[in-house]
Amino acid sequence: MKYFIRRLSYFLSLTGVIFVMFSYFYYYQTEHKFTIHQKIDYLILGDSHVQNGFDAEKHLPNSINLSNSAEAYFYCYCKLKALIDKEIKIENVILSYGPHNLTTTIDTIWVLDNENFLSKSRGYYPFMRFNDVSEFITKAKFSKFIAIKLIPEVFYQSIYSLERQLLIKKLPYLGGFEPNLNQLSIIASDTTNNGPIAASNISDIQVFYLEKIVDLCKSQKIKLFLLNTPLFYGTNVTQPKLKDKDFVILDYGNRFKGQIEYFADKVHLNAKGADVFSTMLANDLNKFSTK
Amino acid sequence: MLFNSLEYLFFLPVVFILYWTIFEKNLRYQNLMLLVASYFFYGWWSWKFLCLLLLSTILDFAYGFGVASKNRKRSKQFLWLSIINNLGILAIFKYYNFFIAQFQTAFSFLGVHIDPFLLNIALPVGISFYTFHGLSYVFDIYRGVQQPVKNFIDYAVFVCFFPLLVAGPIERANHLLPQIQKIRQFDLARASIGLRLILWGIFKKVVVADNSAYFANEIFNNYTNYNGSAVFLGSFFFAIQIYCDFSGYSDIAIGSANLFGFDLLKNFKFPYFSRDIAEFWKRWHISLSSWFRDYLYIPLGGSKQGKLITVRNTFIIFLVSGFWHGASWNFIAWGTAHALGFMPLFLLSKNKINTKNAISENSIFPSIRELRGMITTFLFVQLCWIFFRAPSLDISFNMLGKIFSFDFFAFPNINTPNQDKLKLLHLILAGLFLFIAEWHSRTSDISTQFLDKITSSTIRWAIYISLTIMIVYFKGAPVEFIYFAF
Repeated sequence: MKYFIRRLSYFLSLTGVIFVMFSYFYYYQTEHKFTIHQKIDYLILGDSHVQNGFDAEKHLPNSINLSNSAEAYFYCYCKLKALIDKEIKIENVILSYGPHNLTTTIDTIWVLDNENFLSKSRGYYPFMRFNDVSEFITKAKFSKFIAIKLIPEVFYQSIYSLERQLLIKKLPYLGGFEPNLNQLSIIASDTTNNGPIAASNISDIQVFYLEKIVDLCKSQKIKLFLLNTPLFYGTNVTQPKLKDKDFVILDYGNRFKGQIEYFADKVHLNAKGADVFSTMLANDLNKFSTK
Repeated sequence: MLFNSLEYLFFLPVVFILYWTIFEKNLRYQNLMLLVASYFFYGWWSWKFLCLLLLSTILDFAYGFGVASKNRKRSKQFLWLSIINNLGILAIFKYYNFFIAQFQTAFSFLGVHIDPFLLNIALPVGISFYTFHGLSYVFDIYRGVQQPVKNFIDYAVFVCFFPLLVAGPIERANHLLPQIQKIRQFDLARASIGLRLILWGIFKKVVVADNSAYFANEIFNNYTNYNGSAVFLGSFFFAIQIYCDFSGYSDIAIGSANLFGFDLLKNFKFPYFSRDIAEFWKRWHISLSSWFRDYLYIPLGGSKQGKLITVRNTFIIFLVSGFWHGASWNFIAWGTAHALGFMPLFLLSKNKINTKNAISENSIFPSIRELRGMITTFLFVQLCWIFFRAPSLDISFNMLGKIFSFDFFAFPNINTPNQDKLKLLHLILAGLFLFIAEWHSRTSDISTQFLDKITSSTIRWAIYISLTIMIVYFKGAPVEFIYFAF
């Protein structure tokens, strides 16, 4: 029995060592990617609306787009906090803020969904702080087991990242501009994501982390822009009900209303739309900064 | 609680440690520990259906004493009571809605509309397995090969031992009960084999079966969008999925039982290396096919009463075996197809040619004749799986129609996104590894035999670590074990 336990312990330890080696490699690369820029003029955070819609790095010097699809504000907060902790000087943050971002619908699929949490966290763990994750797990009412489920996911991400580099020579993906090559062809009859948000449908967790981002930006003297990218049905956003109003809303919701050639689907810009919109937004931001 | 779940990852070591430390010295405590653990394991899924399991166990335990009566008439009465009780549970929970629907269709054919009462309850997990355990017990007592067990806990462990509770292997009273009634000592060799089997089973399930399921589901669910060759590929993926899913489950079950000092019946012996359909049925779901052989085929007269009766009995066995899987015409069609595949071999007296030894037992590569037999058997089995997997008979025949058309000779029209290509690459790599490993184990009863052939412990450990990495990295989206539905 003792021999059996000893052999089993050797196996688990060896597997553990390999796991730590792979994970450290990933951790090291992520750290490296985060410290490439010492000064960022525009940091873009948020979901697929800005991931597909704003090619900041092409149009604005010294900017970095770290937005990713299905990204709840919690992850945006973690990214911003990690960059600040590394003493990287950030001038402006542009955060995706569409009509959908504060709804409880987003809670269900981006915030409270176990799989979403695991798939995001396994990639982002190098810059997520323990306290923040713990607070998020409590707020989202996840099972305590989820932290254990994260271990193989972290291992998975480390090997995935290595394979990706070997096969397509790309560093770990933590977000960034991704042109959407689809083309909206059928006009959908429903108007999901386009109606006004009823007060009862506001997500407490999304609001909580939006408040935290606002507070963090304020404390670091970072200018915060909440950006609503163009939507096919042309829906504008309302002012979020936050304690602090230290932000500027950039509402382009109805700028390309009905212009089908600019959309991949009814809420995401396609590559052509992103190019036109990025030029327009970069010009507006430049004007804004010279005021 | 699923074998490939986090809960089981905690459950198994805790039970293992308690079993071999606190309860090691006393047989009664060992069995009580296993019983509590097994009920907890089942209750984790549903406490309500645990009552059904308990009721079934108590009744069969009681019937056992009646069946053992020296008065043959009384013994027979109790045997029938047990049969009615077990098959009654199955009939209510598994087949009731099916039969009612058939009656409804028959009546509507006659122009009479009836609106019958249908049951809206979930199928209790493992019902087909634990009822068969109970039946095996009373049948063995009736046949005189088993004495009724006096200790209820021993009997309850036989029925609900957690590794085999929900999807087998279907154990025999005269095989498992003597092991339960004897104190177990920790056996290093057996426990090591057990761990290997668990690792291998998880690899088969999580990596090969779940990834195959991804492609099989896509093609089966949208078969109208695909051409004949793509549909053929879909059935190939399902053939791989169901084998790795169920044999992987059996490996984990047998491995888990090994950790507690038990040897369970073998359930699979590399069935896809079979050279004809008769050999396939000696190697696929062995515990079920041998159950039907011993408790149905032989009592019906077996092969001792002339060819016609044997043909009848063979058809009955295949049909019942198909129907055991579920209340659907698809399973009956699947059983019939296998019966039709088996019959020519039987009529030409060739059904026992390949059942005595394994393929290319004395050489590394098979002969051309063996290879031809293996490929044709696999193709036949693969096409039969379409009945098993498709949601209806119409769809099964439509899919077969696509395969047996000129469409089959076109390149498969599967548009796989880059992400899926990587998944496919992983599946091919894992599948190749599985094929090579199983080929090297083919003459053995243990699916991890290939590891024993490796003399270098470094290489063996490298394989253990590689398997663990593959399980984490190549794993597919979780899919429930297919046989949980039966």
